[in-house]
Amino acid sequence: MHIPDGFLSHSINAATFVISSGACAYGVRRVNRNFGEREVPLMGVTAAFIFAAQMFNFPVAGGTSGHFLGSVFSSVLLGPWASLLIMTIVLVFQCLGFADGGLTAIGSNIFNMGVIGALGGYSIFIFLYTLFQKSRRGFFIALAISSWLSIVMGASAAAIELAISGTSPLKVALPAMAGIHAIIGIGEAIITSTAVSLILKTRPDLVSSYIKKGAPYEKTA
Amino acid sequence: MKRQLDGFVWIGLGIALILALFLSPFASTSPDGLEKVAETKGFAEKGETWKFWKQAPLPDYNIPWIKNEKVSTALSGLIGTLAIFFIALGIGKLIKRTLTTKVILFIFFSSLISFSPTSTDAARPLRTDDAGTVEKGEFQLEASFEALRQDNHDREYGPSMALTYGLLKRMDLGIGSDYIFYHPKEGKRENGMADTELKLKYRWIDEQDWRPAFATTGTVKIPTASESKGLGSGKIDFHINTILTKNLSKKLVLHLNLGYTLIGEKHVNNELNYSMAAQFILTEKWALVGEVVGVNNLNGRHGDDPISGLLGTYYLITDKIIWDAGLEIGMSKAAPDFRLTTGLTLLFKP
Repeated sequence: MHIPDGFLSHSINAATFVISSGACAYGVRRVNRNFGEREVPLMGVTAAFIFAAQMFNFPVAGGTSGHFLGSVFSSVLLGPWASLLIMTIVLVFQCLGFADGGLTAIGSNIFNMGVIGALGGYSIFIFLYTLFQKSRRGFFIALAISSWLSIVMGASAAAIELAISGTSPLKVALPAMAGIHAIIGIGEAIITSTAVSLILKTRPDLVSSYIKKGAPYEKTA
Repeated sequence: MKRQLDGFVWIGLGIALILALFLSPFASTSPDGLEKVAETKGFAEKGETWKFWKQAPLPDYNIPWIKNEKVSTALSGLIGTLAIFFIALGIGKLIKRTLTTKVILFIFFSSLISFSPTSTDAARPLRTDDAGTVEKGEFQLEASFEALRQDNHDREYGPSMALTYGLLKRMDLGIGSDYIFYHPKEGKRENGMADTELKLKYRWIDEQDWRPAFATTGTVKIPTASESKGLGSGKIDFHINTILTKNLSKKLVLHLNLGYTLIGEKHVNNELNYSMAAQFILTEKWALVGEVVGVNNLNGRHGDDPISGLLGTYYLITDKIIWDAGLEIGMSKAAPDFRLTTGLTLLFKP
């Protein structure tokens, strides 16, 4: 889903850049206020894990591949704002270090995978988790659906940006992008659920969004 | 609920490194979702003609000189994973810092962007040593100034000077010292000469094909600092260091150091020193550098081992005059909060 240079118009790049930087600036404030010294190393590990996992493209239908995104994964561990910052760090690092994703499209990529993927994905997660009355099963259902949606929504946002830029008409780009990413999203849901359940088994204290029955709610960034 | 993390950090990083090393080479090479859509809907060619950023050190997750594609991807994944761990950790630590530190950082990073650096053997502002030696018969003079603040808000600043002479084609000898102004948060201010270091470097192997360059150094710390003012231990220390330098691509050079220090002072443990640095060559004149430096003082406790990260830049004013600047940030309590350094390196023949 990393958009290269040349696909998007300058106005779209500028608009998404402004929105993404604004969101990141607020994210820095939130993390500064709510993070302790101890959460900071977890941010490093999560970014490293997401970077490594994103390198592994798994094959999906019809000669296409997809890879893990990790925006809901990191949101559930550290909160949506820290997750937005992690996604931003990963995307900028991939762009500058590995020519993966365009420099002019960095604002759009952060918007699609960070603002939509992390903030949007986490909002859906919390909505569903509350709907399921914060049960353990509800946690995993919410996790799977929201991580699947984070991919589909991010891809749809990319399609809308492509359409506004005049690269591909919306009625062509949107079904194509949403369709293929609906399949890639299944991989996202499986990897996110597996990884989070493994962490819950070994170190439940690291999953800030998981609320044990009767435990006080802990504020996260 | 206080979160205990220390062990988990290393386990998590280990898992990520294993993923990068063993899974990434077997990734599907098929186009991803967006690329596929671009191909089938006929706008793929738009994306290929317009690249703004041509400086990526490892484009497409490949190391140019490694022929085997799988090995090349695995190694670039390993380097990337390790690097982003420290970058995200550093950014996280920065976000938690005070306003003063942020203002200093802001000024520093803006100056990084407005300037930009390049020769592969300029050592400053890195503390990590490289395997290069000063050319035979040539002198290298490094003059610098640095300011640092300890975790307890004690401040130290002062100028440094080091002179190195190329004795042989592969051997150089250097001597260097500092003058320190020590301003503790409470208590008496002191100033005076710091310890003097005498260092001999020999490069055993030149870089060739896959082989990195390999050098060793031996350093003697002569106690010229005043012990009574608390500026030095008053005892001689010995330090040996092993250095590996490898040009990963035309744009990226890595240096690895592993060393051991015999501390002369009584009741103080010897130290294991390690560091890793990267030089990122932006243009013919300009480079960015980064490093992680750590010490294990071999007392079985990790809490008092300093680890810090440095980001910096150097600029070739001419072939023989190099300006540099660096900012080091402590990543553990025992390391200084921050250290700013800037200097000039001059190369000349008498």
